[in-house]
Amino acid sequence: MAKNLVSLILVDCPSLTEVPSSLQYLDKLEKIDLYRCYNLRSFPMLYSKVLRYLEINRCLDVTTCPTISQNMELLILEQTSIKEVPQSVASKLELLDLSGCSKMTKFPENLEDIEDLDLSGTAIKEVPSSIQFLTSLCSLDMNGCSKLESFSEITVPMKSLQHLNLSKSGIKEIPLISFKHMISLTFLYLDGTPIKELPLSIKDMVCLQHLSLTGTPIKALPELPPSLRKITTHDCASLETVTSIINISSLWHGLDFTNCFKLDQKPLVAAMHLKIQVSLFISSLFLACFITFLKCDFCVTVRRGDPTWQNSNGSTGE
Amino acid sequence: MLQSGEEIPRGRIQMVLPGSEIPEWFGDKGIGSSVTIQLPSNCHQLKGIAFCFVFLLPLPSQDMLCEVYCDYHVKSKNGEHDGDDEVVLASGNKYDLTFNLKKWDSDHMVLDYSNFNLVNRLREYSAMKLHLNSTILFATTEGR
Repeated sequence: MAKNLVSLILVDCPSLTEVPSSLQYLDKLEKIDLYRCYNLRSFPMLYSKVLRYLEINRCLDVTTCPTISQNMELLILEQTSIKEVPQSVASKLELLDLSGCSKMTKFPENLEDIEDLDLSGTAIKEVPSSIQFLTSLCSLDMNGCSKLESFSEITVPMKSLQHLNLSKSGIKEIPLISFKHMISLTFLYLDGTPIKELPLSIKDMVCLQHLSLTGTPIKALPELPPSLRKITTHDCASLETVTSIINISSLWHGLDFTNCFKLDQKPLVAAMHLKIQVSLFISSLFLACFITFLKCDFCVTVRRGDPTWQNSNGSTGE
Repeated sequence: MLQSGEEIPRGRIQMVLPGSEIPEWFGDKGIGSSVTIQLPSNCHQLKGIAFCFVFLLPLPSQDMLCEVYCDYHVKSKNGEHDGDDEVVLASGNKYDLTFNLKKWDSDHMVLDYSNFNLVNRLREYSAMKLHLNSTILFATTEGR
């Protein structure tokens, strides 16, 4: 094997099942990218101390972190069987992706420089309060961490954190003080969590643009920040009160309360009428109609990408 | 000219609600997939149109994405009978909505208001008849 090999990139090679074990002794290796080599069966331990970049996907035989390098900047070990990332390897990491590593039970430590942390689908039970000191952390993804039931208290402002995904985790509540300090958070996904109530401090998230609450047992929406551009609320079976969103104009282009059967619709419908009337008052005219689909015997089924899609034209039915 | 832009960003309101109770402030009503409306006499001031689409489930292909197209044409009132009316505007632009019906457990309605496209084209047809006809297309979602 080439002794001076610095970079090995074998992206999209589904036939690749193993790499030569001699790889482990190449001490000039800086980058290995095996993105979408989905049939990789085994991978050796690498002893290169200058390795910066390593990506392996879907290699369940990897049970320990396959590098000792203290210069790692990017480490993607998606769907492997690793249980931990050594602290020495973690210290310079900017991106760590351990999504689908179902053997991971502990939040990785010593991630001083981390920006993007994907721990979705892991068995992690706890988020340590030390995450508040990760001053570069921009995105934390813990989607599908079903063992995770609580979120730590954040007591200092997290200026970098913009993206927090806790969807389908077991999180029941988030401390009021934590939301208060997520001052830069832009995207917050809580879909499918057992959260019944949002902390009132959510109104302090002055950068929040998208709040996603699909399928949560939430009863009422508290006061929300005016920066909000999108709210996802379908399948919230217990949701009754949403009057707090009426004055956030930018949400009105796409409100979806599908299957929110307990929702008190009256204030919403009245607010829509009022908004339209304001425009009517200016222009003096407004035209309304409704169309009911009682039965559709005029459906055309097409597949996306089918050239007839654009031209399909059904006849009308009653 | 005054704009309603501050009140209605992007000129559009869209809201999906469970149930089939049409808000009482809707004017012209039609049952079926089409409706004919007499346009007002001061159409040049037309600002927007609101629709309430009611979907009574089950629909035949609910496990899919659904696209609703509204074709429209405007007829002048030349003849004595409806059939004699002259079509003065037929829709080129289709007005469309997209929903994922798969997620709907029972009857739902969509309240929709917009102040562009169709409205801009109707301004010169005061007092004429607007006929709207809707078509539903079902598309299998990708990967199916």
